[in-house]
Formats: sequence, structure tokens, C-alpha cells
Amino acid sequence: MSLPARKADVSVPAPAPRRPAAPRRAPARTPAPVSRPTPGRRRRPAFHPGFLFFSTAVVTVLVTVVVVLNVLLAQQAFQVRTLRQSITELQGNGVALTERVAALSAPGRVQAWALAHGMVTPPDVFVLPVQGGTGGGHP
Amino acid sequence: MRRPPGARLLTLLVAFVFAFGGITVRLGFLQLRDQRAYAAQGLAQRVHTITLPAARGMIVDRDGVPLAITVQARDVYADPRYVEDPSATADALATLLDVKPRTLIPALIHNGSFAYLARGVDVGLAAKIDALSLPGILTTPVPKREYPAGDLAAQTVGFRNMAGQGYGLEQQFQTLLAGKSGRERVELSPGGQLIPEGVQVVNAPVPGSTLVTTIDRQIQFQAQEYLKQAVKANHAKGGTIIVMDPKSGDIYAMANYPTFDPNAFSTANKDFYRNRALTDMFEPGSVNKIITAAAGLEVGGVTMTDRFSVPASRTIGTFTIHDSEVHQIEAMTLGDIITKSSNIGATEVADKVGAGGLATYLARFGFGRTTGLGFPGEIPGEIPATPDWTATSLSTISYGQGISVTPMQMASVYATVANDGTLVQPRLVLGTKDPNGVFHPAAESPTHPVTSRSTADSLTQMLSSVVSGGTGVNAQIPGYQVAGKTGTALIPNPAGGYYKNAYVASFIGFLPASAPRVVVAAIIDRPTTVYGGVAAAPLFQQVARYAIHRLGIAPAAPVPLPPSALHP
Repeated sequence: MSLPARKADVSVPAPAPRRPAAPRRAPARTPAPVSRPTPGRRRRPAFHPGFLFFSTAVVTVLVTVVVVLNVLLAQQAFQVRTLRQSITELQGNGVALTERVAALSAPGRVQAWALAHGMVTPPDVFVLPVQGGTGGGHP
Repeated sequence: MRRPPGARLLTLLVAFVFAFGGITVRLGFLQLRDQRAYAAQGLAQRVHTITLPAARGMIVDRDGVPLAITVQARDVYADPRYVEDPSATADALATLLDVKPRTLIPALIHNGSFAYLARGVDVGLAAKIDALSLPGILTTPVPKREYPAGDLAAQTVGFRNMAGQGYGLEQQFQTLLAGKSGRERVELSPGGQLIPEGVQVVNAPVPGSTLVTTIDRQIQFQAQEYLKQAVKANHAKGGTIIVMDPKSGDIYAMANYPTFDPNAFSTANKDFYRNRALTDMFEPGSVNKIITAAAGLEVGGVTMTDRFSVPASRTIGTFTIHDSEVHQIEAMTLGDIITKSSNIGATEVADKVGAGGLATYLARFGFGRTTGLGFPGEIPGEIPATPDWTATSLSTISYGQGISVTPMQMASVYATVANDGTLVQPRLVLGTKDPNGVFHPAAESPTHPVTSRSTADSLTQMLSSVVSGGTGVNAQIPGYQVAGKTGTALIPNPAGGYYKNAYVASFIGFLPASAPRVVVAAIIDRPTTVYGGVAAAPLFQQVARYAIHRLGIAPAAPVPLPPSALHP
């Protein structure tokens, strides 16, 4: 189990200052001053690899989430549009079928069809008087 | 090592400063000062506003079956710039569009970028055309108004043409049927593809409501069929039938012949567009005697047992009135006058009523004003004002000449008698169905009393006598007591006087006489058979018989026949 970095900084003695990198060329006239830690002022710690990894992971996850959400939203938008179109088409089909039913059941068409199939117009309306009644009544 | 010249560096620095300064300033202009304008311009290029047309409401019969409905269709058009082989293209399309190829050629070689080839074609047919992938031939969706039953109730339902000119219920209820178009704002790529999460605002269209009429599709069809047969059999010019419920005022059928198919209105004779039951007037002739009789009973002091001495003819000034049947001086009751349709008898009743009394009852029965249907083009008829009546007006109006009414007004008179003397305003609309499918019933038809109930009963007795033994025997229906009246009216000549040998034959009645369920008005224009009892009564009988079957009307106890001096 690793300890928190900050705590480690406290418990571990401050590291020795690094040597300045060896100059490739001839040193300048005045050598660069060597920074030394002043007593009472803590040196700012370098990024810990774990922190860098963690940060990168968090940022990556966040970016991924944002991208995925964006893709999902985009897909949803397309799906909603497709569904709307589908609803419109289905409504259109429903209306077309309603019209077809009305056209097929139109009395003129039914009569023409019936006559073409040898059917005949029904005879007169017959009235059957009810036994013991007045021969009529109020509907 | 050589030091860089300070002047050149300075020049370069100044150049860079100016260049970057310019860029910075320009950026400032673009991003700060003109930011809104450019953003709006960019948005305008991407955002498109599309009008979403509202679906037009249906017109349905009383059972909810569509009489008019809007379906999706497609227009076929050509962009002649891209048509590679006009002749081959025309050949390929002609078969599908059922036209001759040469009729398509002008559109295909048209000097422009757009020319219609066919409008409102079936979606399936359009798909076949699209499948051909003919260069320069395209289809586009359009709404198309269809009338599934063809010429059924054509003049009542009406239509609207491309110019927005309309007829019938389509015109009368245009606002209700049209609905309200919507708008959609969407952000599209230059290729026309939707940009997800872009601007997308939808103001959905409000579809039109459905108009539920009182028309019964079956009765309407049979009325049209019988009317067509009657017009042809009597070599007439045309005719009108009205079938209505006397209690509610609901019009079950309103048929006119000749008629037309609103699916192809542009090829029809425009004279056939009119709903002549409401837009044309005629001198009613003897069917008007029922009003004279009503006025006689109500204000003329006439009773059912009074006897009138009816001569063979009667001369008023220079005008001589005859009855259709030659007879000697006869004693007639009011019932006899109606049963035998005596013109002279009617004039004698009118004498007792007086001009004021008759004019009052003409008005009370609804003459001189429209019926309240609100139908486009409906006319009020022509009833001369009493001060304008001539010496013969009282007499001629008593038997229905000298005034003009619409068939609907005349049918309404008999509906009033059938409804115990109370006039019920006719109606063509049962209600509306909103886009959510909720039915909103129309208000009940207004009513007003015209005659007393006892007068209506007496009139019914007289009308029953007409059918049982008078001029209307051809309207008899076995098992049912029919009450009605024949009419044979001269047709006025606009040049003055009346046409010779031209008549309007009519029969208007109801059944069962004691408990009326249906009123039928049958009117034939200029039949060679002349008389209402010959040309129109059989038509009434056919339609009424079908109405009995369709509406399930049971027979009712008969009403007594009126007192008669001819057959005591």
C-alpha cells in the first residue's frame, strides 16, 4: 500500500539538489547560480507519475464519456427523426387504407360488383302483421 | 560571427507587427463587432424552415365512412435539361401514365427546368416511375383530395380547386377542414443532411377536424340511382331528391341529377356543380296548397267539414283558372280540395285567408329566407312583398304559382307538418371530430312553431287522403300509410309568362303518416310525362321504400281520412 505523496514528502528528507546539467558548450562566463533550498520554504514537488497517470485516465474517461454521449445524442436525434418519418408514413398508409376501404365499400362499386356476379335487386319490403297486434306500432 | 543588421530586423519586426496587428484588428472586427451578423449569416445558411402542411380533415357520412379524404400522392415532373432521350422517355412513361407518348413530348423538350407530366398520381405508380430511373424524371409528394364514392353526394360534399375556389361543404367548412400548417426549423449540412443536436424546432401542424355529416351513404346512393332512372324514364332535364328526418332536421340524402364526379371535376360540366336543392328555385305548384290549407285552418276560419262550391273554372280579371281535371260545379271540403288538388278550391280557401294571412304563413313556413344551413350559394327564393301582389297573386300563390322556392324549403314545409306543426331547421352536419378523435356534436337545430298540432294533424289526414285516393296513388307503399302531395307547376319564362308544355313535377311526403320518420321530396324538371303524380310519385315511392328498409321504419297505426263531400 503506498502512502500519499504529500505525506511521503513530509517524512522523507528533502532530496539533494540536482546537479545542473553538464553544458554542451563551454560554460558561460558566470556559472548559473545553483538553486538551493532555503530553510523554511518547501520545494514544490514534481508531478508524481501516479498523479499523471490518474489525471490522464480521468481526462481520457471524461473525453470518452463526452464523445460517447455526443454519439448517443446524435444517434438519438437520427432515431427520433427516423421514427417521426415512420409515424408520418404509417399515418399516410392508414389514411390510404381508410380511403381504399371506403372506395371498395362504396355502394356504387358494391352494386356493380353484385350485378356483375348475377345478383339481383332485392324484392319489395314485406310487412308481416303481428298476430293480435294492430298491424303496426310506434318504433 | 556577424551580427544581424539591426535595420533589417527592425523592418521585419515592424512588418510582423503590422501584419499581426492587421490580423488582430480583422479578427476583432469579425469576432467582436460583426460577430452576431456573421453568426446569424452562418446559421441562416444551415438552418432551414420547412412548412409542415396540415392534413385536411375528412368529410364523413353519419356512420363515419369517408366521403372526402386526403391521401398522399405524387406529382411527376420533368427537368428537361437532364432528359437524354425524350422519345424513349415518353414511351416508357406513357405506358405507366396511360397517355399517348406524343402528349408527353412537349414537356420533355420544354425550354426550362420544370414541367409537370402528371399530377396526383398514385404512390404505387410513382414508385414504378422512380424505379425506371429515367434521367430528368422526378416525383414529389403532394396531398390529394379523394372522393372514394365518386359522384356520391357530389354537390353536397363539393370540392376545392387549385385556385382555392370551392363548392359545397368543402368550401363552407374550409377553415375547420384545413387545420393549421406547422413549421419545422432544422439545421442541415450543405448536402442536406440533418445536423444532430443542431437547431431543431418543431411547431407541429394542427390537422383539420373531421366533418361528420348527416348524410347516409346508402340512402344517398339509392336516391341518386332512382333519380337517374326517373329522369331518364321520364325524358326529363334533371331532378332533385331530398330525404330528411322531420324530427331532427337531419338530411339523409340530397341528390341532384345530372351530377359529376368530384375526382374529375375539371372535366365536368360546371352547371352540374350546383346543389340545386339549395341553389335553384322553382315555382312549387300544387305542393304549395298545403300552406294555403294550413293558413285556412289557422286564420281563415276554415274547418275540415266546410263545403266549398268549386266551379269548373274561375275568372279573376282577365285571368281564368282551371283545375287539371274538368268537372262540373262540385261541393268540396278542404280535404277534397287537397286530395283532388283543385286549383279553384285553393283560390277559394285563399279568399278566406286573405293576402296578409297567406303571406304570413308563407313566411312562417320559411319561404323568402334561407333555411339556415349556411350552404354556399343557397338562395332564399322569391316571395313578392304583399304590397306588390297583383289582383291575381292571392289566387295563383294559393296553388303555388307566382312564388319561387328551393326544393329544400319545400321539403322543410312537409317536415314541419310531419313534426306536429313545428319547423325544425334542416341540418347537414352532425358534429365535428377534432384531431384527437373527440366528437363534438353540433347544436340541436333551432325550432319554431308554425301551426298548431291539431292543424298539423288535419293536414296529415288530407295528405294521407291524397295518397290513398287522390292524385298521389302512385306513392302508395303496401303496409304503410303515406302522406304527401303532388305538384305540377308551370315554369316561368324570363321573357314573361310561362313556357308552354314545360313543367316541374313533384311529390313531397312523409311516412308513416301517424308517426313520421322520414320526409322525401322528389322533384323532376320538365318530364315528358308532365304530372307530379306520374313522374315524381313513383320516384318518391322507390326512395321511401328504401328508406323504410334502411332506417328500419315499422308501420304505424293509420290516421283517419278527412271528411269528404265527394265521398261522404
